[in-house]
Amino acid sequence: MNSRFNLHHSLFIGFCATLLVVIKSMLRMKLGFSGHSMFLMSVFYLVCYGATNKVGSMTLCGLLAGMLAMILGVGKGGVFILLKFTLPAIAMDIGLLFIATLFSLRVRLILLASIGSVAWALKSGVQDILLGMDINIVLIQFGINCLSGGAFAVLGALLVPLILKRLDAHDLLIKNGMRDK
Amino acid sequence: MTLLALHQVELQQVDSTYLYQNLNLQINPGECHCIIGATGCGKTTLLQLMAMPNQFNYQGQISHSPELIIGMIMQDPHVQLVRETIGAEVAFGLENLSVPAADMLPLVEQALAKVGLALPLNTAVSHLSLGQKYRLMLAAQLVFEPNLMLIDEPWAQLDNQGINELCKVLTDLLAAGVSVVIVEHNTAPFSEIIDFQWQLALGELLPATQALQASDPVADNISRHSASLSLSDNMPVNMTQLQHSNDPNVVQRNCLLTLSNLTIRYANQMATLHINETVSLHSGDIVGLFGENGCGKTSLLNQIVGVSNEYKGHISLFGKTPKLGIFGANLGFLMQRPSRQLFEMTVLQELEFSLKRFGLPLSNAQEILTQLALTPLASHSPHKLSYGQQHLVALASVLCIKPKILLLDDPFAGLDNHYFPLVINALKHFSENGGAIVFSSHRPILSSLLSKCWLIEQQHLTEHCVLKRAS
Amino acid sequence: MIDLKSAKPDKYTLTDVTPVDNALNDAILRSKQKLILCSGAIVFSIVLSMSAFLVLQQHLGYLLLINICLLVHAWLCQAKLAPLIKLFMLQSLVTIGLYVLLYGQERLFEAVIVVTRIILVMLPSWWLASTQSSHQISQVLSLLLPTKWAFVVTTSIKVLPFIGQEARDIYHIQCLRGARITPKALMNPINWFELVKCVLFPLLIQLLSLSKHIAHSANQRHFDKSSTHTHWPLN
Repeated sequence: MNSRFNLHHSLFIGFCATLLVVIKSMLRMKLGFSGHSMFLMSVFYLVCYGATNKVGSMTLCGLLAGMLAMILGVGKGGVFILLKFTLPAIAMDIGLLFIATLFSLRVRLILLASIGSVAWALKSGVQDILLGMDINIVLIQFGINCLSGGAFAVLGALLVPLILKRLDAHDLLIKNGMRDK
Repeated sequence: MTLLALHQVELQQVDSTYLYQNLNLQINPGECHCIIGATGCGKTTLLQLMAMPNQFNYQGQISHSPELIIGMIMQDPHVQLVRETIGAEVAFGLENLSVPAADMLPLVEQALAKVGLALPLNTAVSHLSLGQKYRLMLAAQLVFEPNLMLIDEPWAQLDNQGINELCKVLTDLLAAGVSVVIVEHNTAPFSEIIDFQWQLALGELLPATQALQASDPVADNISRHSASLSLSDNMPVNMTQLQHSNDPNVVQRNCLLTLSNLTIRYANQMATLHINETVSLHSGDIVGLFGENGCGKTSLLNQIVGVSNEYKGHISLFGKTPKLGIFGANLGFLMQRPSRQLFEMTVLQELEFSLKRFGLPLSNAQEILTQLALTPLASHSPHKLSYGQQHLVALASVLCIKPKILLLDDPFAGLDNHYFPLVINALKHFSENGGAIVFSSHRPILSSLLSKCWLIEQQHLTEHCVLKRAS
Repeated sequence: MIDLKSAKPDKYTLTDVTPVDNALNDAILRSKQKLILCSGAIVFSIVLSMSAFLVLQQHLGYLLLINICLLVHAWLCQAKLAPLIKLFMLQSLVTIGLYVLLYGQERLFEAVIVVTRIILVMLPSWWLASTQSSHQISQVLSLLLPTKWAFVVTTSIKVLPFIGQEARDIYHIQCLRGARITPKALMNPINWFELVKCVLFPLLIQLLSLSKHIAHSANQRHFDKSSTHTHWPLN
């Protein structure tokens, strides 16, 4: 995986992760409802995928965002923030392996976003079960997280094609060497 | 012995037009070459081509001597400084060459000594002044012991002190046999060290002559380069303390902005900016806000528009205390590097954005485009334009809402002699129609245009009037 | 191409390394100690967080005691307690509320235990972030990661203030240009698109060019030349 991303791509993915963490820390106190972080995650992960057009970019972005959040102490969950950022990204990348050439870009992105939000809700659920929480309560929270996270993630995914289309229309991806042709 | 030679080099751009057509240059040890040319003529690309020819698809010959080691300094310091302390910054290159940790220290210290940065190795890079950062970038290159330094436009970003320090270091390097190539549009500060001066025009390098300099359309009436170190042009000489009571014009015109007994404290820092008297801005004024890099010009402008709120004292803009968004179309503000505010699909849409949001007539856009000679670009994507053009588009997008006050943060940085007069004319026109302008710069400029200037010296801002030079 | 000649060992062994720099050696030693201390703190906080999952209920008290010590330590280090308390309140409200809704009063104790465990998972990481500088943690991480990704992480932290400032600047300037992105306007999700269009989009353009330029200048300083890298001894 190391050799597939040159330094420029890697830095771009890293900066997307940084921006994600920065925005998340700016919004943290203002938006109380759960799931809004899924909006940011789906936007930035999918932008990374769209800009580099490579499988693995989302996982990397998630890993880096998790590490940065851990280092900077942003968000709740501490060491588990790494998982919180990474698991949706990994799930989305695995999903991408199956649908990389199917559907239009928009549908693909929406599917990926939904996969990501399920993985995100699943992570909290498993964590709660391990902590000994009652299974019914875990299921209720899982359901709420799936719905709210999913809604935000899909909203994010709907915006990504617009961003990518604009970047492409202005030749910014080519000019900045993100695309070969 | 020739270190580097270009022989009939040609380079095609993406749109298959020629950027260079017949480029010839020969650099020998200890020589200082200076290349001038308009924005977008490929000066920066030329440096990159010299340093890394195999990343380009060029025709012709570029020969590197086997002894050649190139060091390169690009324009923007914060993309080139990658570490947090000065020692680590200089050592970055050594880390990459797998130099053992124990051997790094003397090498790093030598390189820092060469550029006159005698600071502890764990000094944070963020604490350095811009001039010091520039010399740190130089040290980070000198640690490779290069014999050719390529430097991209140092004048535009450094204040006069920074330039003086840089010149000193470059003089030492040249004396030690290192060659230097500077790309620049104002050569005056470097005139003592430059051996050869070239003009890059129409894809060719021509020896720059006096004739070329004289035809410069700006040089005549507006002292853009008043930073040229000649004393007669030095602003403070031409300025006296403003006498409020003796100036009848001031009283009649509308007072738009007053600042009194102001103290600004930047976040996490001790340094403050004080305004002890009351300074004011009236309609039709053009005020220059001058001070060295990092003295708080941007911070002051941010307080005035209400973007930040880190002051004690009194600011009154249109009779109100500033808060973001309450002034609407009355206030126009252009930040540094204005190209970053562009987002629309075409230049015209970019201008119309604010007009639509403020409910103003869309015809304003065409008017401003005509005035700034931008009409041919109206349907172009703003992101495909050159830096100077983007700058102008951003300015146009602020001008077209016809604000009463226009605040410009370092608006002339990176503008070449082609766009500079256009901007000046637009600003003149704006002020003649009753608009007030405050612009900032890290060196006093445009003395003939100003009605007064605000000077920041030793953390104090004082108001001065400008004696127009007899012309 | 840029020559690697200066990397030849004979060139730098010539410079005499005077042993007078005791202060410097001390500094090197101290930065090593700090690094070890920080790695210890990271491992400790991970172990503590993990044990919040695994510890039996009757031993939970000891864990609580250790965590209170951490809390006091962090408090002495001038860490801010307010966000932690806020988080604690929110968490207990949601979980205990759900328990009460489903089961009434009878399983309240169980709910309190679960909430305590959740807090104990989070607290060590909060302690780590508030007592260790991000610089130190990233130094430790970069020793573990491959060179390129270590560089990406440290550079990301380095440019974080710049990116934050850039985001704020672009947001403010678009506000002044009349964009409907004030906090009030953003209550309406229709305006989110405006936010994406006139803040996120220019920001991404900035990130694209920033990453291009940093990659370029790092490679110009031989970053991509060799697979093995050494580390600057001072932190």
